[in-house]
Amino acid sequence: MNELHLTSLRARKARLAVKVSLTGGKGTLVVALLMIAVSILLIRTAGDQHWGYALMALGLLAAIWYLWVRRDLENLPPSATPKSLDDILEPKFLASFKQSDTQLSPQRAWQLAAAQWQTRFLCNRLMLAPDIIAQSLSTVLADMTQVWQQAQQLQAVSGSPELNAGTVATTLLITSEPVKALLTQMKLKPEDVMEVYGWLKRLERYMKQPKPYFGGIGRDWATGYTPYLERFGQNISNTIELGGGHFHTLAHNDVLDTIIYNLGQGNGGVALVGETGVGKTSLVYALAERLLEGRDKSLQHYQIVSLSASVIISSAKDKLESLLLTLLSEAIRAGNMIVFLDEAHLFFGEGTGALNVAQVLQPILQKHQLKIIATFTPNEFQGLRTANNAVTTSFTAVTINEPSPEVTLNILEDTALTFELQNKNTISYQALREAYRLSGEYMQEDAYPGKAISLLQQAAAYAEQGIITDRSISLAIEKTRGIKVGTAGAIEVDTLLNLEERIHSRMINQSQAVNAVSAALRRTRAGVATTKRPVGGFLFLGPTGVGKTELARSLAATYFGDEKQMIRLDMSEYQQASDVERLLSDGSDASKSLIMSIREQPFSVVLLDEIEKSHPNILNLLLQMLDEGKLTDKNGRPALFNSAIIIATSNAGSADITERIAAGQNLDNFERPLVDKLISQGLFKPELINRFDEIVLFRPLNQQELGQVATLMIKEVNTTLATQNIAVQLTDRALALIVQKGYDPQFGARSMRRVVQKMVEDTMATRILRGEAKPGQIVTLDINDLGAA
Amino acid sequence: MQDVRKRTLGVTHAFSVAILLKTLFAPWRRITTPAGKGIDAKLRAMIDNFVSRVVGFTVRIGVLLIALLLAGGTLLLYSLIMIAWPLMPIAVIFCLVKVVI
Repeated sequence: MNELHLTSLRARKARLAVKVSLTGGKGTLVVALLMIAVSILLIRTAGDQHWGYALMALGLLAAIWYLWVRRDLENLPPSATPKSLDDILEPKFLASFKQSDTQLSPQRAWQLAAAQWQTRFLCNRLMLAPDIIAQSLSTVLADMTQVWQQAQQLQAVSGSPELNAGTVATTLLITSEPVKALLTQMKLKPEDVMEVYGWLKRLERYMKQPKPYFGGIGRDWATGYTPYLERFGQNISNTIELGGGHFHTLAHNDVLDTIIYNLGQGNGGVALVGETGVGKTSLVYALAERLLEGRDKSLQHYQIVSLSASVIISSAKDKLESLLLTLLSEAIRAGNMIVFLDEAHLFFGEGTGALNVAQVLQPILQKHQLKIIATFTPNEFQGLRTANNAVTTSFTAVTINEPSPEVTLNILEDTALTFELQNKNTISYQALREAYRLSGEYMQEDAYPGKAISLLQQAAAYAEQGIITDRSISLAIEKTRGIKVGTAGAIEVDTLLNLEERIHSRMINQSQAVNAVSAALRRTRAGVATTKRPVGGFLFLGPTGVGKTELARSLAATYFGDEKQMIRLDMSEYQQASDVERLLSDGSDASKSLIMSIREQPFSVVLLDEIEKSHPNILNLLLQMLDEGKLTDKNGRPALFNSAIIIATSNAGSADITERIAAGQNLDNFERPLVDKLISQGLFKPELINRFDEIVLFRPLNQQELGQVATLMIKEVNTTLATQNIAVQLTDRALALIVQKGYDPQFGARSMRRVVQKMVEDTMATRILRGEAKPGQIVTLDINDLGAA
Repeated sequence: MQDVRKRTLGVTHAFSVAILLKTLFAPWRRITTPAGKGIDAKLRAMIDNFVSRVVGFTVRIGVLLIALLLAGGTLLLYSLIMIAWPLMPIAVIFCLVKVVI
């Protein structure tokens, strides 16, 4: 069916309807009725019957006009037996066709569709410019045949009786090769267009569905008064009723049936058990709406009232049990109340701000006197089961799992429309897709869809010209989590490309190690590496004082912005099996742990010093950290390391390295033999070694390099003195002495800093205090000027 | 026809006709007195509960009557419009003839 008859009756009526739509309003009807009423009065009072009949004729004509516009012109359903396209085209879209559009090209079809709200919806969500799309579309009339055919197929699949502008626009976007190329440039695929089309169709269905019936004015006259519940609780059903229902995709329809079955059967309590963010509270709201609609006979027009532990505690003061008893008695007497205990563990003495009312609730639950819905996370429910098994057995536990990715995206799309109304902005589809992706990667402690919705809310603050884009989402997660996920900016690109050079401005040599960590960062920031593992995992092997820790520190300062962005753990402090708990503490026992540190600053360098000294159980934990990029605390909540670089250092094998260097050999290809030796000595397990991205050997520094280290340290002293406009420089002899004093065959250059402090800083301090070093002066220190080391 | 049915049903829904019929004799807002011990208490409870039911019945029957009137009116109005629709052009011509004569 490709013919379009723009002179058909339906097409003409559609055009006329648009032209006269203003005259079909209620005002016309009121005027018509007034004229008829006045005319009757005139005729009856026998004043001037001519004027009376004239007015009645006018009133009747106005009434006929109103009825015709409303009942006929504005009500043009598609034909049941369509013969041409005008029989199925949506009236407003059909009305936009000019007489000359009987034969039209894809470009012209797009231009017509672009004027309709459905196409604007598609373009706004996908961030497409309608004019640019129009330019990319074909102007060949014959090309439209295929478009019409595919549009009708799409219409049939969507279950819509009409062919509207949205369907035609979607077909044009997914069938035109030049447009597809344009979409690819914008990182979009035809599947994305179809996803937004599905979103549009759901919105259309919602707009067309009749206003829900919630029971009318006499609904609650056979149920009891609930003044206390109204005061201390929140009536969810009333909230929904006032809002006229809400638009949402429900993730857990099957679970809703289970809840209704259990509550309808007289089982007093239902416990919804699911991770934070999985949609437990939303499920209760959906339940409230379904019960209000009265479709389920056993719970027809029941209402759900939410009780908050914090509100009850703050209101009750010392009469807690008495208030709770009053509230529950009122709910029982009302006969149509379901009590909802959100975060129910707070009612059973778990956590901060909790109250223990198990003694009050338990008899009510066991006797099935009141229908109660309670929400718990799996850990909270397990905790309650251990503490008070009788309470948990009084509930029918219903597990709520994360919805599928497709349903999660649908929920995000529907939620986005509500947010748009609240925040007066527009949310692009790309933003939703990014919110889904990034929340999955960086907010693993919570569940879908809650975490993605939460990220979307945070992104409102980063909207660009009223539009929340994928960049707004990246910015939101970067600012709230302290990590980097967005495209690297010019400054960052410069840092990344010159990272080796910048690190070398702080440390000498060890180029292999510097190159390895720099490359790992570049891989991650360019989006080449997986985000499911740490940015990089490195094992630095070498003698003391050769720069292993200094490299970690330099990296933290150069790329991560501050030396404080380094989480340093001395693994020699974790030699007992019991130290595992200390490492994984979630902070509830007030001790600082690796888990807490990484949650506070996920974008950092994690330095595990002297790793070989830690207990094997701890090393086993590190396997998970290096492999999956996360550790799990004692409450089962994950802490992510996928924005961190993990650097483990060890002195193991340093004797072999020193020997090799002393024998005049280099360290090329020596990693594997050395590691094999360390494994055979039982110092490391092969599974741990294999999880590092790279094992880097640090060689001892030679005299020349030590001189460079000393020079770097003098440069640091000068940076400090610059505030007083004083500088210090050393003669070659003085520098050689510092190198000699600062080097220790056993500790490398470790004592260099102390020597510089004693010999240079102390000398300068004395001179400044004596007034011998004045602003603007460059002080040259020779061997005799240096202090004692 | 479907439109007339929809509008009439809309009125019955707004006035909760089905619910009010089902609970016509139920006590008003569940205000009841539990039967105590002794004839006096039982009698008092019986009277109290009877009064509550009478109040409930009175309010509900009143609302049902209003609903009936409005639903009837809606049905009548829309039926009249349906009947009058084909006759309206004739009525216009009739009026115009009366103006001329």
